[in-house]
Amino acid sequence: MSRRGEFDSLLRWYPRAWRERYAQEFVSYLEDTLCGAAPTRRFRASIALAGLRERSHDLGLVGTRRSASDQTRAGSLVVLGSWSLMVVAGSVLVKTAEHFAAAMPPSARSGAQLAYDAIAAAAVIAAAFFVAGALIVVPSFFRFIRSGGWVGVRTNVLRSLFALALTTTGLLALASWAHHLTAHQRNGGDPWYSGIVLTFALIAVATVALWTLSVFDVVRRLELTSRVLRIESTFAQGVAAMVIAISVAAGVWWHQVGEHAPWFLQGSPHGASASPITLPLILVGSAMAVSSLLAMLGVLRIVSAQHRLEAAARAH
Amino acid sequence: MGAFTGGLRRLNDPPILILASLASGPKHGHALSKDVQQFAGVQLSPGTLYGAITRLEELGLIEALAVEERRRPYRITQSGAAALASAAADMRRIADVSEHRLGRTPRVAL
Repeated sequence: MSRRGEFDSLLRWYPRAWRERYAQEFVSYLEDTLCGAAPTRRFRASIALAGLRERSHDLGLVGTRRSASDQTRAGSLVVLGSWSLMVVAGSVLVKTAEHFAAAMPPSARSGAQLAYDAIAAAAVIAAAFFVAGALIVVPSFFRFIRSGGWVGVRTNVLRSLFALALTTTGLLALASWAHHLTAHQRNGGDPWYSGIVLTFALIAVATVALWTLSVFDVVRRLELTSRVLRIESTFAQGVAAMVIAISVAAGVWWHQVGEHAPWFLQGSPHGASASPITLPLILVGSAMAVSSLLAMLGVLRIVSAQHRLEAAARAH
Repeated sequence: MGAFTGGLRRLNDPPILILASLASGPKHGHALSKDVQQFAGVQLSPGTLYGAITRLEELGLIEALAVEERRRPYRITQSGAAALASAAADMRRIADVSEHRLGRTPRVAL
């Protein structure tokens, strides 16, 4: 890659508006500073971090460069991202927890069952908030499409639709195949089946990620009234509360099952000595922790925007 | 001072170093970086330098001049000079208190 091409690729860390304003002088500064030498790893990292920081400002995720409305929208989108991550982590947890009640001693079942029911209830409530939040922006979405907005979001949405079609078709085909297999074959006895299940699980995760990016892309462009934005941010705070509730309940469930039936978590024979710590649960736990953290950050952003709006109203 | 200068406080805060450099006249990015290295012994990384330039320009503490051979010089504004003076007074006060507590003679009466 030529030095100029290298600089151009480094500039991609920055948002478009920043590049339009500073790219030319920044490249000439880099040329003056490096005098033809290749940028070091530290040099590149400095640019990448600064670019991400500018993007965060540009999206309204940090600082006060953007309006309080944009800040509210950014906070709500962070919560949406946290929910997407929770959907993936929660799906893995549900698969892991299949038939756990039967594996537990009856006297110790209630704690884990209660935690599992709390996870299910919180997931249903969060999904209801999510759907309600999507429904109230439908009129804005149609206005956006009618005013020619489709061109700007077409690529992302079509990619997401393709991924969704692929995932749905694959899962239907897998379900039909699984119907002809024994329980042993479905649970690791058939390497072909296991491999294809894993592949489609990864495709499903990619589909969730693509849809999340598409929603980000569309919502950022919608004209939302302050009333709609306020309702949207209330739903987002509801989703965030449920994300945190799911994480806590999942921790309780893990602790209860780990204490009373650790063999279930390892897939070992009933009563066998086993560690309650497994790689899938560590990954699920980490994803849930990150999801909860994102949910909290999103809420903090929304609350900080509300404070700005209140301060502005008081000043008037 | 904090609100006015966007929270400029620390001696090695890149925006303060940039304002201090521009106080002696307009400079473009590379000249700024070299000057800061010379008078403060601080090597500003490219991300930090341009992050600070962006922030200072947004706050109206510096302003861009016309491009000269693809390099854009910046100059300190009146607000920037006031912010730098205020930050310098704050730092001087802290330095004087420190010297006084160390048993040395401060440059101004406390």
